[in-house]
Formats: sequence, structure tokens, C-alpha cells
Amino acid sequence: MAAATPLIVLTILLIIAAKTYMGDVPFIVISGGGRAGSGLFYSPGYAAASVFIIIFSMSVLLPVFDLIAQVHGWKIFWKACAIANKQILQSVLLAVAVALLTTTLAFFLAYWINRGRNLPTTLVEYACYVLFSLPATVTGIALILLWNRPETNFIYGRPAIVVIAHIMRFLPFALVICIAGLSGIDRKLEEVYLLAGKDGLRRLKDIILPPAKSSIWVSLAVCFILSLGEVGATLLVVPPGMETLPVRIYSLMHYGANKIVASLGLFLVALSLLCGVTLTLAWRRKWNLR
Amino acid sequence: MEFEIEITNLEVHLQGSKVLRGVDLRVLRGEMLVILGPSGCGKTTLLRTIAGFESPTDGRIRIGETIVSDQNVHVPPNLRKIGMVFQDLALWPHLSVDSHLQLVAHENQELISSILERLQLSDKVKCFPSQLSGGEQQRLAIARALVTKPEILLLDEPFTGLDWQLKDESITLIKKIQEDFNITIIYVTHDQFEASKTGERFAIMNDGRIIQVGTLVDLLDKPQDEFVATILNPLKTYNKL
Repeated sequence: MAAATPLIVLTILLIIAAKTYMGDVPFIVISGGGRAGSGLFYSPGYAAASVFIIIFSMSVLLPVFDLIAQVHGWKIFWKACAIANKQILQSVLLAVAVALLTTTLAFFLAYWINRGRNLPTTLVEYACYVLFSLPATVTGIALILLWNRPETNFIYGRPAIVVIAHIMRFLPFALVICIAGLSGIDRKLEEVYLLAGKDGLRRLKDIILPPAKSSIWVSLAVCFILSLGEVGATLLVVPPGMETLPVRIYSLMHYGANKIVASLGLFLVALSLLCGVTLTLAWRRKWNLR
Repeated sequence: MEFEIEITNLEVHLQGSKVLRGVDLRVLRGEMLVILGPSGCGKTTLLRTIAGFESPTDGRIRIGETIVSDQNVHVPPNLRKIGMVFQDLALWPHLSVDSHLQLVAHENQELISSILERLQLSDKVKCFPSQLSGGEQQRLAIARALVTKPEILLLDEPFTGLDWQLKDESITLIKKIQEDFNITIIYVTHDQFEASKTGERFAIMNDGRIIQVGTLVDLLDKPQDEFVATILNPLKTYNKL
């Protein structure tokens, strides 16, 4: 646990630096310095894009191609999916629950932080970002120490503890996304509504949620994908009778079932990709703001 | 004389700085008062405090017979019978013209239709704000403020960004609305020419205070200090030309 302290300190310093230099802007724009045409190819932006493509190819594309090469056909792929169908179902259900709960919590927190902007909101925001610096194993150990008691065993011994672990791990991501989404919604939009004599949940439903829906969908997708692949904290807190797909893959690796492991790994990648592609298509067709 | 709004020694602090420094102002029932002052002098804060979005640190605001703001009282904005048009209009980007009005008018279709017609928006009911021209957006913001049947309308530089022809048309429209609805209007601007075309009575504001109140002729003839003379100088020069 103590080993995580330098990480926490480093995270706090980085948060302070980010807040100092970015303030509360919802996004930053990186431009090629206004140069047009071939000048862009010699700009720092082009160099950065090239480095990104190289890193992306080495860390994402090559491993995925390697997985495909190891699977040796659809038959093995479907056989692996059939073997782990229970784990797939549990993982998807868990990811859906985590995405919904984390995004809901993050949205209300983000609203409070964004509209408050005072000492308590700043402290809560920083505290949430510090969760980001905790390694998965530290999160798992902290949860075991906190919940593994006779009086809280109704949570510790059930899937709820995995949900809590995932919320702890992914809340910072959802919070950043929701704060960015809400920063673009002018407070005056609510004030006009207030003058008309409407307040509370209707204000949220009529005025805040519609413009914020893109950030909510992004947050849901990010939390779903991250939860789908989480293994570090899940391994430590997973209750008896529950096994997620990443945990299953982790167990199978010890038995040397390479083709099955590769197939299930590929299935995880495909599921995440499907989520991302669906969101992008839906966003473009239906939910795109006018 | 019957005052609709009476503001006494109003002070407002925002984020540690004193924005309003003892504002005294009386607005008559059914009049259009223009507040003229340079950017950053506290005009918007004054309107926001009248609307109930800011709380005074000192002083008092009375609307009709009711004290709506002082150190102990804060009547919420929705109970003040106030409509407001913000400088950037604050239109809801996800709602059509029709939905804008439906949402605040409690689905009073008759009122909505009459206001849409009066503000020449009847053929734009299905349009979203991004599909409207600048002038139409301004009229939508005014329509949205009117459908709540306010007794007081606060206009915070509502015609900024419009060309002079549109501004003229919009000002004429506002005057007509004031007559038809018998509504009290406070109109804030930093533009002397816009002010001179709009108002009957003027309040000159600087550095968080109301410096002088009067008709344009009074202010031009007997400016209370150098600031009032300077801010009205373009009008004097224009009149001489």
C-alpha cells in the first residue's frame, strides 16, 4: 500500500499542473500553426501524428494481428466462446452495470463540481482524480481491508464488491468526460428556465441532459470497455461463483491453452470495438446535436 | 408617482470584488428605462440581481409592494414575474422555436400562437436556433421571455451583433411590445446611439454606481459630471452635425 504513495503524490502534482495550465476549458485544440498545404507535413503536428501511428501499430495492431494468427480459424474461436459463455455473460452484465452506475455518479458529481466551483467541489474533484493513480492491486487490497468484515460481508461476498472496485477505478475517466460535457453548457440556459418557474429534475431533463447526452454516451462506452477488460482489482475481490472473462483468460493462460486464450482475447477486442463503432454510428445518425 | 422597481443602496460582491457600490434607482410602472454605461461597469450584474440570480451584500430591491432582495429576504427568480433576455440570448440549442415556447408557457397554445405571430416567427416554429438568422434568434429570445407573461422585462444588450437596420427594426418592435403588453422594461446597453433610439428615461452607470438619471435632453443639457458629459458626447456631436 505504501508503495502507491509516490504515485498518488505524482498524480496530485499532475492534476494541479493540468488545472493551472488548462483551467476549466472543456477541450484544447492542437493546430498546425495556421499553415496550409504541404507545410503541415513538416509541422510538429505531423511528427506527433507519425509517432502516434508507430506506437499505436506496435501496441495495438501488432498484438491484435498476432491474436488472429494464433486463433487458426472460426471453429476454434466459436468453441472458445462456447467454453466461456457464462463468463462472457457475467462480464457483459457487469460492464453494463458499471457503465450505468459510474456514469450516473460521475454526471451528478460533475454537475455539482461544475456549477459549484468552490473549495469543497475542488477537493472532491481532486479526490476522484487521485483514484486514477491507485494501481489496480492497491484498489483491490484497499477494498478487501475495508469490506472484508462480518458486518459488511453481504457486500464483500457478492458481485457488488466487483462493481464497487470497477467504479473506483473508472470514476475519474467518467468524471473528466462529464465535466468536459457540462462545461460547454452555459449556466444561463438553466437560469432562463428558472425564470419560467421550473426547477429540480425537470430542469435536468429538459435543459441539461439533451446537450450533455454526447458526453454521457461517451462516458458509458468508455466505462463499459474499461470494465470489460479489468483484471487487476477483479482478481483480488471476485466472490466465489463469479468469474469474469478477463479472469477466465488469466486462469486459462496458466494451462497453456493458447488458441482458446487468443480466441477469448480477440472476442474481448471485438466486443470493445463493436461498442465504439456502434456509439460512433449512432452519434452521427441520431444523437448528433443540431 | 408609482414605482415598479425601487433599488436602494444596492451593493453586490462577486468573487471577492465589489461590482455594485450603492446603486439607487427607481423605475416607473410601464416605462422603458435605458441603463447606459461602459463595459464592465456592473450593468449586467444589476440586471441579474434584479432577476434574483445574485444576492445583494447590502441594500434592497422592491418590486411593486414586495421587498424581493435584501440581507434577509431572497424571493426566488420564478416568483418575481420577470422575463429576461440575455446578451448571448441563451437559446436552448436542442429545442425548436415551438418547443422553446411550449416549455415555458405551460402549453398555453393560444398565447404561444399570438406571440409567434406578433414576433413574425409563425413560419419558423419547427426551426432550431442554429437554423435561424441573428434577428430571428433575438426575436425568439424575446418571445420566450414574453410567454411567461412577465410584469418586468430585462433586456441585457439584446441586439448586440445586429446591423443597424435590424437593430432599428428590433427597437421599434420592443417599443410596440411595451405599449401592447403595458410592461416595464429595463434596457441595458453600452451603445449611445442605440440608447438614444430606445429610451424615454436614461440612467448613466459607471464603476458600479448610477451617476445620473433623466431624459436625454436633461442629461445632454445638464450633465452631472465629466463622465456623463463624455459618454454622451458622441450624441451631442451627432446632433450638431
